[in-house]
Order: sequence, then structure tokens, then C-alpha cells
Amino acid sequence: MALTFGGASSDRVEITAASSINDLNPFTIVMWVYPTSLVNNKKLCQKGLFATGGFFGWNLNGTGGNLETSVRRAGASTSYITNSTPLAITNKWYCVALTYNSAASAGQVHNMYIGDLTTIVSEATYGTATDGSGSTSAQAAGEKLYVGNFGSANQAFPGHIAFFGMWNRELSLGEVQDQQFQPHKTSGNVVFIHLGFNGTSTQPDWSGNGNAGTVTGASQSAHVPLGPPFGLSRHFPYTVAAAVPSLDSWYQLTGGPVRENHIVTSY
Amino acid sequence: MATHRLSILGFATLPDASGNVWFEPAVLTQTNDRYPGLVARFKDTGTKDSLGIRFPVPNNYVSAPVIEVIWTTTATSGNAIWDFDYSSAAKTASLDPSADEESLTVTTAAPGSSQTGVASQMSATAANIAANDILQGKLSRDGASSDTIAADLVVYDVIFQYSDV
Repeated sequence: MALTFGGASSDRVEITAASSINDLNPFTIVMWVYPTSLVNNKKLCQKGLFATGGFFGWNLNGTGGNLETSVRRAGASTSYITNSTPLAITNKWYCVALTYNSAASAGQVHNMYIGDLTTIVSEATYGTATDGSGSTSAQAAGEKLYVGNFGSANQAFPGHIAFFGMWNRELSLGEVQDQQFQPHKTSGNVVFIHLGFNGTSTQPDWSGNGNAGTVTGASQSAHVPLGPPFGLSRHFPYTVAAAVPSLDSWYQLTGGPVRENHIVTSY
Repeated sequence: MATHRLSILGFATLPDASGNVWFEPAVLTQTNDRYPGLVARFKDTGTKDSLGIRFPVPNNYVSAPVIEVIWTTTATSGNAIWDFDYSSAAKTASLDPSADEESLTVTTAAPGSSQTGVASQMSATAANIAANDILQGKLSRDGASSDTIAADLVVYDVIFQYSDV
């Protein structure tokens, strides 16, 4: 399942502030998103407000499918804006990832990676890549993490969001690629939500950190077609046509027990 | 006559909404990091936390159904309580049962050393299950009962064992 945002500008998922997600540096966010329109400044996610201290935000930039991110630092804030229009096509699923690491080398403080259902994620190119300076500013106490919006709750993402994952470290491109088609909990994972699987009730955080989300306005919609979200069956064929004489023979063919959603007409 | 065993974790496997059950690579808790397969982790809580499961009962099923949980933990003392609540029905019958057909439970002691496997078996009533049924169930760690292991439980597999005679 997924959640659809943007019916109202206040649509959002709120995750209460917690030590596991506050003031992270470095961090990584991985999302599966499906924009139905491209509107400047609509939010993928944000924590903290520009007006009240530290924050990070990630949003659409312009109407051509570019992305923008910023993190407040004590000297000067970061600002990275893509120029490769990674979300140029609407009504399409994209895997997008954002990293932040203030200790990274120049031009690498942020990375934004984009892929889709048939293209492995790769890094976008940037028209603006301002690294900023100074320590990462602390967010105001109690600032929530918003998915599909931000604290002012008036810039809902126009489209569907199926997955939101956050890590308290900088994932490499290879690690993001590893998450793309089968998101899973790995070291440093602090939020892991398949949106909509619990309807519009509490969005469970399957990272083990209790960072569940509360839905306002968003509605349930179809999940990104990645295959089983939790099952263990991604590497087997999906259909076995008939005439497998016995289960033991099937084991011999596959080298192991049957463990997926085969349509098996005979063992 | 033969006893058959098959893993029943598949595309329908879904953790409940508690956030206390999830999948992760086994290497997150292993020290030798050799095999990166997924495992299901059940957090140490005071609640009954579940993993939803559904599978087709094999065509040659006849009797002796057993649900076996293969698990481990870092703890070496205490008891784990596993429950398996299920309904099994013909694939053309209602797939939306209003109650469990049977609730199984087993209490199993923690392994003597960390990360050693334990097999907890729960025998089901043979007559409840028929060949080609769709079996739906929930595997739960019952922290609301007398589960006394003060650590997470990590499930490596869940097996449906049965006889063809």
C-alpha cells in the first residue's frame, strides 16, 4: 500500500521527535514516491522549521522535476538543487535518496540519488551545491519529522509515497541500490515505514525504534509494485505451471524448500 | 510414507502494526557475517506481537501437522512463548474467518549459548487441515504471557511439517 498526499495542502504523516531522529548528522533518507504533479516547494519530508532553528528539508524545486535540499548549519546553511530534472515525468514511481554528512568533502555534503522501477539509482547532477559551514544547528525541542509535508503543514507532496526509511549514517550509493527494490532494515536504520499498510491509522515503524507516524488527511492507495514488502521470496520464479511430480522433486529442482507465492497446481 | 517440511514464510508474510516485529539481515546480530539472509526479529515486549502468514497446504498432506519455529537469541536463560493462531479452509471457502480455528502454544527454554538455534514445535489438529487448503495464521511471541527471555528473539525460519500417509 501507499498513502496519497496533496488532496489537501495539510496532508501529512507526523513522527514525534525522538533522540533516534533528532539532529542527525550524518543521515540518509530513502523514499519511493509517485508525483502526480510538479509544484515548487512541495515537501517530500522535513524536520524542524527554517524560522525556529535547525532543520533539514527536501522538496520539489520549480515545476520541471528538480529536487532541493537544505540543512541549517551555524555558519551558513547547505543548499543543493538538482539540474537533471530527476522527477521530470509525473505519474511514475521513483526511488529517491538523500544523504547529509557535514564532514564530507566539498561537493559531497549532500548526495541525491534517483532511480525507478527499471533503472538502478544513480546520483543526480546539481545546479547548486552549497556546502555551508559550521556545526549542524540543533532543531527546536519537540520538532516533529514530517513525511509528505513540513511543520507549517501547507505544502503537501502532490502524489503517493509508499516507503520512507531513515538511517543515522551516510549510506553509500551501493547501499542505496541495495535498498531500492527490497527496502530492509540495516545497520543505523531509525525509521522504516511502508506507508498505508495499516490503512490511515498509526504508521508502524518497523525499524524497532518506535518512530511510528500519525496520518492527517492522506488516503490509502496502491503500493509501489516491488513484490513482497516483507516476504522472503524475491529470488524464485513466481509461477510453476503443473506437472511437478512430487515435493521432493521440486526440492531437487530448486535446491531448497518451496517458500513463495507459486501458483502450484501439483506437488 | 514420508515426512515433509517446507518453509511457510512467503509473499504474504507481514509483521503486525505494533512495530515490534520486523525483518533485517542476519548479519546485524551475527558476529561472523557470512550469510546475509533476512531474519525476523521479535522485540522483547510485554505484548503479544505477531507475524502474519499464509500458505497453500500441499496436495499430498494427510496428517501430523506441526508448526516449527527455528529461532535464536542472545540470552541464555528464560523461556520463550510462541503462539500460532490459524484457520485452514478450502480455497473456495471463506477466506475471511471471524475466529481462529485453533490456537497453538509452546514454551521453550532459551539456548544454552548465544546465537544457538532452537526448534519450537506446535502440533496442530490434523482434521482441521486438508490438502489444498489455504492456511492463514499468526505466529506470535507472547510477551503478555509467561515469556521470560529478556532479549529479542530472532526467527530464522518457520516450517510446516506433515506426513503424506
